[in-house]
Amino acid sequence: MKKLLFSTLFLLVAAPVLVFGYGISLDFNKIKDTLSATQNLMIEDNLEQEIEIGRVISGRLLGAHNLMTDKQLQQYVNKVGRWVASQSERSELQWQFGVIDADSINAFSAPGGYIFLTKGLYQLLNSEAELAAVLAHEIGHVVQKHQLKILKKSALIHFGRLLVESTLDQKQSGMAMNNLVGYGAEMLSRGLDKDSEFEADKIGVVLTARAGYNAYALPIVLQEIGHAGMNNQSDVRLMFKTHPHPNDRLDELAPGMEGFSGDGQMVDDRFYRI
Amino acid sequence: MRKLLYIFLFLIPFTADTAALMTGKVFIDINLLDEPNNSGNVIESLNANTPITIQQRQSSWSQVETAANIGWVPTLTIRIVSVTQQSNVDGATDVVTERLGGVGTKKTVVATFGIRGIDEESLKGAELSEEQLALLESYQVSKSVAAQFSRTAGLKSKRVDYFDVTVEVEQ
Repeated sequence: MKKLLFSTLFLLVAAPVLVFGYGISLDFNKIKDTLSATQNLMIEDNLEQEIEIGRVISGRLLGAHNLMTDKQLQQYVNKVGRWVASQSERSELQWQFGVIDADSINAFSAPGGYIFLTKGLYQLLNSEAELAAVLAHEIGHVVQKHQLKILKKSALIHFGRLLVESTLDQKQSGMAMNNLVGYGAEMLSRGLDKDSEFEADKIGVVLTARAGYNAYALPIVLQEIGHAGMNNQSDVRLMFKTHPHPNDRLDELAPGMEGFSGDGQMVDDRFYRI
Repeated sequence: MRKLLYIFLFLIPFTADTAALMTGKVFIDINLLDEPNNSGNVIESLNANTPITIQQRQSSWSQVETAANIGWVPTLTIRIVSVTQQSNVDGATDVVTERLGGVGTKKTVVATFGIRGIDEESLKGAELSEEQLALLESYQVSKSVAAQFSRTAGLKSKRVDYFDVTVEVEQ
Protein backbone atom coordinates (compact mmCIF):
# COMPACT_ATOMS: atom_id res chain seq x y z
CA MET A 1 0.00 0.00 0.00
CA LYS A 2 2.74 2.40 0.99
CA LYS A 3 4.61 1.53 -2.15
CA LEU A 4 1.54 2.10 -4.24
CA LEU A 5 0.89 5.36 -2.50
CA PHE A 6 4.42 6.51 -3.07
CA SER A 7 4.22 5.52 -6.72
CA THR A 8 0.98 7.45 -7.11
CA LEU A 9 2.42 10.49 -5.45
CA PHE A 10 5.56 10.14 -7.48
CA LEU A 11 3.50 10.20 -10.64
CA LEU A 12 1.57 13.19 -9.41
CA VAL A 13 4.69 15.00 -8.39
CA ALA A 14 7.40 13.86 -10.71
CA ALA A 15 5.52 13.46 -13.96
CA PRO A 16 4.95 17.16 -14.51
CA VAL A 17 8.57 17.77 -13.66
CA LEU A 18 9.78 15.26 -16.21
CA VAL A 19 7.39 16.29 -18.93
CA PHE A 20 7.66 19.99 -18.65
CA GLY A 21 11.19 20.10 -17.31
CA TYR A 22 10.56 22.51 -14.50
CA GLY A 23 13.71 23.40 -12.70
CA ILE A 24 12.54 22.30 -9.31
CA SER A 25 14.77 20.08 -7.26
CA LEU A 26 12.80 17.76 -5.07
CA ASP A 27 14.15 16.65 -1.76
CA PHE A 28 12.91 13.06 -1.75
CA ASN A 29 14.09 12.46 1.79
CA LYS A 30 11.94 15.34 2.89
CA ILE A 31 9.04 13.97 0.90
CA LYS A 32 9.46 10.55 2.51
CA ASP A 33 9.51 12.13 5.97
CA THR A 34 6.48 14.20 5.16
CA LEU A 35 4.67 11.19 3.82
CA SER A 36 5.23 9.19 6.96
CA ALA A 37 3.82 12.11 8.91
CA THR A 38 0.83 12.70 6.68
CA GLN A 39 -0.10 9.50 4.93
CA ASN A 40 -1.80 8.03 7.97
CA LEU A 41 -3.78 11.21 8.20
CA MET A 42 -5.71 10.65 5.00
CA ILE A 43 -4.63 7.68 3.03
CA GLU A 44 -4.98 4.65 5.25
CA ASP A 45 -8.37 3.29 6.24
CA ASN A 46 -8.47 4.40 9.80
CA LEU A 47 -11.77 4.56 11.63
CA GLU A 48 -10.60 7.06 14.22
CA GLN A 49 -9.50 9.50 11.53
CA GLU A 50 -12.69 8.97 9.57
CA ILE A 51 -14.75 9.85 12.64
CA GLU A 52 -12.59 12.90 13.36
CA ILE A 53 -13.00 14.19 9.80
CA GLY A 54 -16.76 13.65 10.07
CA ARG A 55 -16.85 15.39 13.44
CA VAL A 56 -15.08 18.48 12.12
CA ILE A 57 -17.26 18.70 9.01
CA SER A 58 -20.39 18.23 11.13
CA GLY A 59 -19.19 20.82 13.64
CA ARG A 60 -18.88 23.34 10.85
CA LEU A 61 -22.31 22.48 9.47
CA LEU A 62 -23.74 22.97 12.97
CA GLY A 63 -21.78 26.19 13.29
CA ALA A 64 -23.71 27.47 10.28
CA HIS A 65 -27.07 26.04 11.33
CA ASN A 66 -27.92 24.92 14.82
CA LEU A 67 -29.82 21.81 15.76
CA MET A 68 -33.51 22.26 16.42
CA THR A 69 -34.06 22.68 20.13
CA ASP A 70 -36.83 20.05 20.36
CA LYS A 71 -35.13 17.33 22.43
CA GLN A 72 -37.94 14.81 21.90
CA LEU A 73 -37.67 15.24 18.16
CA GLN A 74 -33.90 14.71 18.20
CA GLN A 75 -34.16 11.61 20.36
CA TYR A 76 -36.92 10.22 18.16
CA VAL A 77 -34.83 10.71 15.01
CA ASN A 78 -31.83 9.08 16.72
CA LYS A 79 -33.87 6.02 17.68
CA VAL A 80 -35.23 5.58 14.16
CA GLY A 81 -31.87 6.30 12.56
CA ARG A 82 -29.91 4.00 14.87
CA TRP A 83 -32.34 1.16 14.18
CA VAL A 84 -31.91 1.59 10.44
CA ALA A 85 -28.12 1.92 10.74
CA SER A 86 -28.10 -1.31 12.78
CA GLN A 87 -29.22 -3.11 9.61
CA SER A 88 -26.14 -1.92 7.74
CA GLU A 89 -22.66 -3.37 7.33
CA ARG A 90 -21.35 -0.61 9.62
CA SER A 91 -23.75 -1.20 12.49
CA GLU A 92 -21.10 -0.66 15.15
CA LEU A 93 -20.32 2.94 14.22
CA GLN A 94 -21.35 5.52 16.80
CA TRP A 95 -24.13 6.90 14.60
CA GLN A 96 -25.42 10.37 15.39
CA PHE A 97 -28.46 11.98 13.84
CA GLY A 98 -29.69 15.55 13.99
CA VAL A 99 -32.45 17.78 12.62
CA ILE A 100 -31.01 21.18 11.81
CA ASP A 101 -32.96 24.38 12.00
CA ALA A 102 -33.11 25.26 8.31
CA ASP A 103 -36.08 25.71 6.00
CA SER A 104 -34.30 24.29 2.99
CA ILE A 105 -35.19 20.73 1.98
CA ASN A 106 -32.15 18.51 2.19
CA ALA A 107 -30.23 15.84 4.07
CA PHE A 108 -26.51 15.41 4.60
CA SER A 109 -24.03 12.89 5.88
CA ALA A 110 -20.42 13.10 6.91
CA PRO A 111 -17.82 10.35 7.33
CA GLY A 112 -17.89 8.34 10.53
CA GLY A 113 -21.67 8.18 10.93
CA TYR A 114 -22.95 11.76 11.15
CA ILE A 115 -26.37 12.23 9.54
CA PHE A 116 -28.46 15.39 9.31
CA LEU A 117 -31.72 16.44 7.77
CA THR A 118 -33.27 19.88 7.67
CA LYS A 119 -36.47 20.94 9.36
CA GLY A 120 -37.81 21.73 5.87
CA LEU A 121 -37.38 18.14 4.72
CA TYR A 122 -38.71 16.72 8.00
CA GLN A 123 -41.90 18.75 7.57
CA LEU A 124 -42.50 17.12 4.18
CA LEU A 125 -42.54 13.64 5.72
CA ASN A 126 -45.73 11.84 6.69
CA SER A 127 -44.58 8.67 8.39
CA GLU A 128 -41.75 7.06 10.31
CA ALA A 129 -40.99 4.87 7.29
CA GLU A 130 -40.37 7.98 5.19
CA LEU A 131 -38.05 9.36 7.86
CA ALA A 132 -36.28 5.99 8.00
CA ALA A 133 -35.89 6.03 4.21
CA VAL A 134 -34.32 9.50 4.15
CA LEU A 135 -31.89 8.50 6.90
CA ALA A 136 -31.21 5.17 5.17
CA HIS A 137 -30.15 6.99 1.99
CA GLU A 138 -27.64 9.05 3.99
CA ILE A 139 -26.49 5.97 5.92
CA GLY A 140 -25.82 4.44 2.49
CA HIS A 141 -23.30 7.20 1.74
CA VAL A 142 -21.43 6.47 4.98
CA VAL A 143 -21.53 2.70 4.43
CA GLN A 144 -19.95 3.18 1.00
CA LYS A 145 -17.63 5.93 2.31
CA HIS A 146 -18.57 8.12 -0.63
CA GLN A 147 -17.39 11.38 0.92
CA LEU A 148 -14.24 9.84 2.29
CA LYS A 149 -13.26 8.50 -1.12
CA ILE A 150 -13.57 11.97 -2.65
CA LEU A 151 -11.63 13.52 0.22
CA LYS A 152 -8.86 10.98 -0.24
CA LYS A 153 -8.66 11.76 -3.93
CA SER A 154 -8.58 15.43 -3.11
CA ALA A 155 -5.86 14.79 -0.52
CA LEU A 156 -3.64 13.08 -3.05
CA ILE A 157 -3.94 15.96 -5.48
CA HIS A 158 -3.49 18.54 -2.77
CA PHE A 159 -0.46 16.93 -1.18
CA GLY A 160 0.93 16.27 -4.63
CA ARG A 161 0.81 19.95 -5.47
CA LEU A 162 2.45 20.88 -2.20
CA LEU A 163 5.15 18.31 -2.75
CA VAL A 164 5.92 19.73 -6.16
CA GLU A 165 6.59 22.97 -4.41
CA SER A 166 8.68 20.91 -1.97
CA THR A 167 7.65 23.10 0.88
CA LEU A 168 5.45 20.83 2.91
CA ASP A 169 6.35 21.37 6.55
CA GLN A 170 4.30 20.55 9.59
CA LYS A 171 2.51 23.89 9.61
CA GLN A 172 1.49 23.56 6.01
CA SER A 173 0.44 19.97 6.40
CA GLY A 174 -1.92 21.26 9.11
CA MET A 175 -3.19 23.87 6.69
CA ALA A 176 -3.68 21.20 4.06
CA MET A 177 -5.76 19.20 6.51
CA ASN A 178 -7.78 22.32 7.27
CA ASN A 179 -8.39 22.96 3.61
CA LEU A 180 -9.45 19.39 3.17
CA VAL A 181 -12.03 19.60 5.94
CA GLY A 182 -13.20 22.85 4.37
CA TYR A 183 -13.60 20.96 1.15
CA GLY A 184 -15.65 18.36 3.01
CA ALA A 185 -17.94 21.08 4.35
CA GLU A 186 -18.22 22.53 0.89
CA MET A 187 -19.13 19.07 -0.40
CA LEU A 188 -22.25 19.28 1.75
CA SER A 189 -23.42 22.11 -0.47
CA ARG A 190 -21.97 20.82 -3.75
CA GLY A 191 -23.10 17.25 -3.43
CA LEU A 192 -21.68 13.98 -4.65
CA ASP A 193 -21.74 12.57 -8.14
CA LYS A 194 -24.96 11.13 -9.58
CA ASP A 195 -23.82 7.52 -9.35
CA SER A 196 -23.12 7.84 -5.63
CA GLU A 197 -26.61 9.24 -5.14
CA PHE A 198 -28.24 6.42 -7.11
CA GLU A 199 -26.18 3.90 -5.13
CA ALA A 200 -27.26 5.48 -1.84
CA ASP A 201 -30.90 5.29 -2.97
CA LYS A 202 -30.58 1.56 -3.65
CA ILE A 203 -28.87 0.94 -0.32
CA GLY A 204 -31.49 3.16 1.33
CA VAL A 205 -34.38 1.08 -0.01
CA VAL A 206 -32.76 -2.15 1.20
CA LEU A 207 -31.92 -0.82 4.68
CA THR A 208 -35.46 0.56 5.03
CA ALA A 209 -36.87 -2.86 4.16
CA ARG A 210 -34.40 -4.69 6.42
CA ALA A 211 -35.59 -2.49 9.31
CA GLY A 212 -39.16 -3.70 8.73
CA TYR A 213 -40.44 -0.54 7.08
CA ASN A 214 -42.14 -0.32 3.71
CA ALA A 215 -39.45 -0.35 1.03
CA TYR A 216 -41.53 2.07 -1.04
CA ALA A 217 -41.11 4.82 1.55
CA LEU A 218 -38.10 6.27 -0.30
CA PRO A 219 -39.87 6.41 -3.69
CA ILE A 220 -42.81 8.09 -1.93
CA VAL A 221 -40.50 10.74 -0.42
CA LEU A 222 -38.91 11.27 -3.83
CA GLN A 223 -42.33 11.88 -5.32
CA GLU A 224 -43.13 14.37 -2.56
CA ILE A 225 -39.86 16.21 -3.11
CA GLY A 226 -40.43 16.05 -6.86
CA HIS A 227 -43.68 17.94 -6.64
CA ALA A 228 -42.25 20.40 -4.13
CA GLY A 229 -39.53 21.02 -6.70
CA MET A 230 -42.08 21.57 -9.43
CA ASN A 231 -43.33 24.54 -7.48
CA ASN A 232 -39.80 25.85 -7.86
CA GLN A 233 -39.69 26.71 -4.20
CA SER A 234 -36.32 28.07 -3.24
CA ASP A 235 -36.28 25.66 -0.31
CA VAL A 236 -35.58 22.72 -2.59
CA ARG A 237 -32.96 24.41 -4.72
CA LEU A 238 -30.05 23.11 -2.73
CA MET A 239 -31.53 19.62 -2.79
CA PHE A 240 -31.59 19.76 -6.59
CA LYS A 241 -28.09 21.14 -6.59
CA THR A 242 -26.73 18.36 -4.40
CA HIS A 243 -28.84 15.47 -5.68
CA PRO A 244 -30.09 14.34 -9.12
CA HIS A 245 -33.70 15.24 -9.90
CA PRO A 246 -36.15 13.00 -8.00
CA ASN A 247 -37.69 11.76 -11.25
CA ASP A 248 -34.29 10.56 -12.46
CA ARG A 249 -33.78 8.85 -9.11
CA LEU A 250 -37.18 7.16 -9.38
CA ASP A 251 -36.36 5.96 -12.89
CA GLU A 252 -33.08 4.50 -11.64
CA LEU A 253 -34.79 2.76 -8.71
CA ALA A 254 -37.80 1.40 -10.59
CA PRO A 255 -36.33 -1.82 -12.08
CA GLY A 256 -34.90 -2.98 -8.73
CA MET A 257 -38.11 -2.16 -6.88
CA GLU A 258 -39.95 -4.92 -8.72
CA GLY A 259 -38.58 -7.37 -6.19
CA PHE A 260 -40.22 -5.59 -3.25
CA SER A 261 -43.78 -6.41 -2.28
CA GLY A 262 -44.22 -3.32 -0.14
CA ASP A 263 -45.41 -5.32 2.83
CA GLY A 264 -43.35 -3.45 5.41
CA GLN A 265 -44.81 -0.91 7.82
CA MET A 266 -45.26 2.82 7.28
CA VAL A 267 -45.64 3.55 11.05
CA ASP A 268 -47.54 6.80 10.72
CA ASP A 269 -49.34 6.63 14.07
CA ARG A 270 -46.33 7.37 16.25
CA PHE A 271 -44.54 9.59 13.72
CA TYR A 272 -43.33 12.67 15.60
CA ARG A 273 -44.79 15.71 13.84
CA ILE A 274 -43.38 19.21 14.10
CA MET B 1 -48.68 36.35 -8.76
CA ARG B 2 -46.43 33.30 -8.96
CA LYS B 3 -44.12 34.79 -6.38
CA LEU B 4 -47.08 35.44 -4.12
CA LEU B 5 -48.14 31.84 -4.56
CA TYR B 6 -44.75 30.53 -3.51
CA ILE B 7 -44.80 32.70 -0.44
CA PHE B 8 -48.26 31.46 0.35
CA LEU B 9 -47.30 27.83 -0.15
CA PHE B 10 -44.26 28.32 1.99
CA LEU B 11 -46.44 29.69 4.78
CA ILE B 12 -48.66 26.63 4.75
CA PRO B 13 -47.15 24.11 7.10
CA PHE B 14 -47.18 20.51 5.95
CA THR B 15 -49.16 19.23 8.89
CA ALA B 16 -52.09 16.90 9.34
CA ASP B 17 -54.37 19.94 8.97
CA THR B 18 -53.14 20.54 5.47
CA ALA B 19 -54.45 18.30 2.73
CA ALA B 20 -52.64 17.95 -0.56
CA LEU B 21 -54.56 16.88 -3.62
CA MET B 22 -52.13 15.50 -6.14
CA THR B 23 -52.79 15.10 -9.81
CA GLY B 24 -50.42 13.42 -12.19
CA LYS B 25 -50.12 10.84 -14.89
CA VAL B 26 -48.93 7.30 -15.35
CA PHE B 27 -45.71 7.30 -17.30
CA ILE B 28 -45.99 3.82 -18.78
CA ASP B 29 -48.83 1.69 -20.15
CA ILE B 30 -50.35 0.06 -17.07
CA ASN B 31 -53.55 -1.70 -15.99
CA LEU B 32 -55.85 -0.04 -13.47
CA LEU B 33 -56.78 -2.76 -10.98
CA ASP B 34 -59.66 -3.07 -8.52
CA GLU B 35 -57.33 -4.12 -5.67
CA PRO B 36 -53.91 -2.94 -4.52
CA ASN B 37 -52.16 -6.13 -5.61
CA ASN B 38 -51.25 -7.89 -8.83
CA SER B 39 -54.12 -10.38 -8.59
CA GLY B 40 -56.72 -7.61 -8.81
CA ASN B 41 -59.09 -7.46 -11.79
CA VAL B 42 -58.35 -5.07 -14.61
CA ILE B 43 -60.78 -2.14 -14.64
CA GLU B 44 -59.15 -0.15 -17.40
CA SER B 45 -55.97 -0.26 -19.48
CA LEU B 46 -54.21 3.06 -19.12
CA ASN B 47 -51.87 4.39 -21.77
CA ALA B 48 -48.73 6.27 -20.80
CA ASN B 49 -49.53 9.89 -19.95
CA THR B 50 -53.12 9.18 -18.89
CA PRO B 51 -54.02 11.87 -16.36
CA ILE B 52 -54.91 10.68 -12.86
CA THR B 53 -55.70 12.07 -9.42
CA ILE B 54 -54.13 10.32 -6.43
CA GLN B 55 -56.69 9.36 -3.80
CA GLN B 56 -54.62 7.43 -1.28
CA ARG B 57 -51.59 5.22 -0.91
CA GLN B 58 -51.41 1.73 0.46
CA SER B 59 -48.20 -0.21 0.65
CA SER B 60 -46.56 0.07 -2.78
CA TRP B 61 -49.85 0.93 -4.48
CA SER B 62 -51.72 4.16 -5.09
CA GLN B 63 -55.45 4.51 -5.55
CA VAL B 64 -56.05 6.83 -8.47
CA GLU B 65 -59.01 8.33 -10.25
CA THR B 66 -59.07 8.51 -14.02
CA ALA B 67 -61.70 10.26 -16.15
CA ALA B 68 -63.86 7.14 -15.95
CA ASN B 69 -62.80 4.96 -13.03
CA ILE B 70 -61.17 4.63 -9.65
CA GLY B 71 -58.63 1.87 -9.12
CA TRP B 72 -55.09 0.95 -8.14
CA VAL B 73 -51.71 1.25 -9.87
CA PRO B 74 -48.17 0.70 -8.52
CA THR B 75 -46.92 3.94 -6.94
CA LEU B 76 -43.74 3.87 -9.00
CA THR B 77 -45.69 4.19 -12.26
CA ILE B 78 -46.96 7.65 -11.32
CA ARG B 79 -45.43 11.06 -11.90
CA ILE B 80 -47.06 13.95 -10.06
CA VAL B 81 -47.97 16.88 -12.29
CA SER B 82 -49.63 19.33 -9.94
CA VAL B 83 -50.41 19.78 -6.31
CA THR B 84 -53.36 21.52 -4.71
CA GLN B 85 -52.93 22.66 -1.15
CA GLN B 86 -56.14 22.89 0.84
CA SER B 87 -55.84 24.72 4.10
CA ASN B 88 -58.61 25.30 6.60
CA VAL B 89 -58.47 28.73 8.14
CA ASP B 90 -61.33 29.83 10.42
CA GLY B 91 -63.70 27.42 8.77
CA ALA B 92 -63.01 28.76 5.30
CA THR B 93 -61.15 26.72 2.72
CA ASP B 94 -58.54 28.33 0.55
CA VAL B 95 -57.51 26.34 -2.42
CA VAL B 96 -54.38 27.16 -4.26
CA THR B 97 -53.60 25.23 -7.37
CA GLU B 98 -50.48 25.40 -9.40
CA ARG B 99 -50.43 23.53 -12.67
CA LEU B 100 -47.07 22.64 -14.03
CA GLY B 101 -46.08 20.94 -17.22
CA GLY B 102 -43.12 18.99 -18.40
CA VAL B 103 -43.15 16.46 -15.62
CA GLY B 104 -41.20 13.33 -16.33
CA THR B 105 -38.79 15.18 -18.54
CA LYS B 106 -35.18 15.37 -17.44
CA LYS B 107 -35.29 18.60 -15.49
CA THR B 108 -32.01 20.14 -14.59
CA VAL B 109 -31.11 22.05 -11.50
CA VAL B 110 -32.88 25.29 -10.81
CA ALA B 111 -31.15 28.59 -10.10
CA THR B 112 -28.60 28.66 -7.33
CA PHE B 113 -29.32 32.06 -5.91
CA GLY B 114 -31.71 32.90 -3.13
CA ILE B 115 -31.23 29.68 -1.22
CA ARG B 116 -32.75 29.88 2.19
CA GLY B 117 -31.17 27.90 4.94
CA ILE B 118 -27.91 26.23 4.15
CA ASP B 119 -25.93 27.69 1.34
CA GLU B 120 -22.36 27.44 0.20
CA GLU B 121 -21.28 30.73 1.68
CA SER B 122 -22.62 30.02 5.15
CA LEU B 123 -20.90 26.64 5.12
CA LYS B 124 -17.60 27.99 3.88
CA GLY B 125 -17.53 30.72 6.48
CA ALA B 126 -18.83 28.64 9.37
CA GLU B 127 -16.80 28.02 12.50
CA LEU B 128 -16.86 24.63 14.17
CA SER B 129 -19.33 24.57 17.06
CA GLU B 130 -18.16 22.32 19.91
CA GLU B 131 -21.30 23.22 21.83
CA GLN B 132 -23.58 21.96 19.07
CA LEU B 133 -21.46 18.82 18.61
CA ALA B 134 -21.84 18.07 22.32
CA LEU B 135 -25.59 18.59 22.03
CA LEU B 136 -25.70 16.25 19.03
CA GLU B 137 -23.80 13.62 20.98
CA SER B 138 -26.21 13.93 23.90
CA TYR B 139 -29.07 12.73 21.68
CA GLN B 140 -27.20 9.62 20.56
CA VAL B 141 -28.84 6.30 21.44
CA SER B 142 -27.41 2.81 21.69
CA LYS B 143 -28.14 -0.02 19.33
CA SER B 144 -30.14 -1.81 22.02
CA VAL B 145 -32.29 1.24 22.85
CA ALA B 146 -33.07 1.63 19.16
CA ALA B 147 -33.94 -2.06 18.87
CA GLN B 148 -36.28 -1.79 21.84
CA PHE B 149 -37.93 1.26 20.26
CA SER B 150 -38.45 -0.60 17.00
CA ARG B 151 -40.12 -3.50 18.81
CA THR B 152 -42.75 -1.19 20.32
CA ALA B 153 -43.96 -0.49 16.77
CA GLY B 154 -43.83 -4.18 15.86
CA LEU B 155 -40.90 -3.70 13.50
CA LYS B 156 -38.85 -6.79 12.79
CA SER B 157 -35.60 -6.88 10.89
CA LYS B 158 -35.62 -8.91 7.71
CA ARG B 159 -32.98 -10.34 5.47
CA VAL B 160 -32.99 -8.35 2.25
CA ASP B 161 -30.17 -8.48 -0.30
CA TYR B 162 -28.79 -5.44 -2.08
CA PHE B 163 -29.55 -4.99 -5.77
CA ASP B 164 -27.20 -3.35 -8.29
CA VAL B 165 -24.80 -2.39 -5.49
CA THR B 166 -21.71 -4.03 -4.04
CA VAL B 167 -21.24 -3.33 -0.36
CA GLU B 168 -18.08 -4.46 1.36
CA VAL B 169 -18.66 -6.04 4.73
CA GLU B 170 -16.66 -4.06 7.24
CA GLN B 171 -17.03 -1.74 10.14
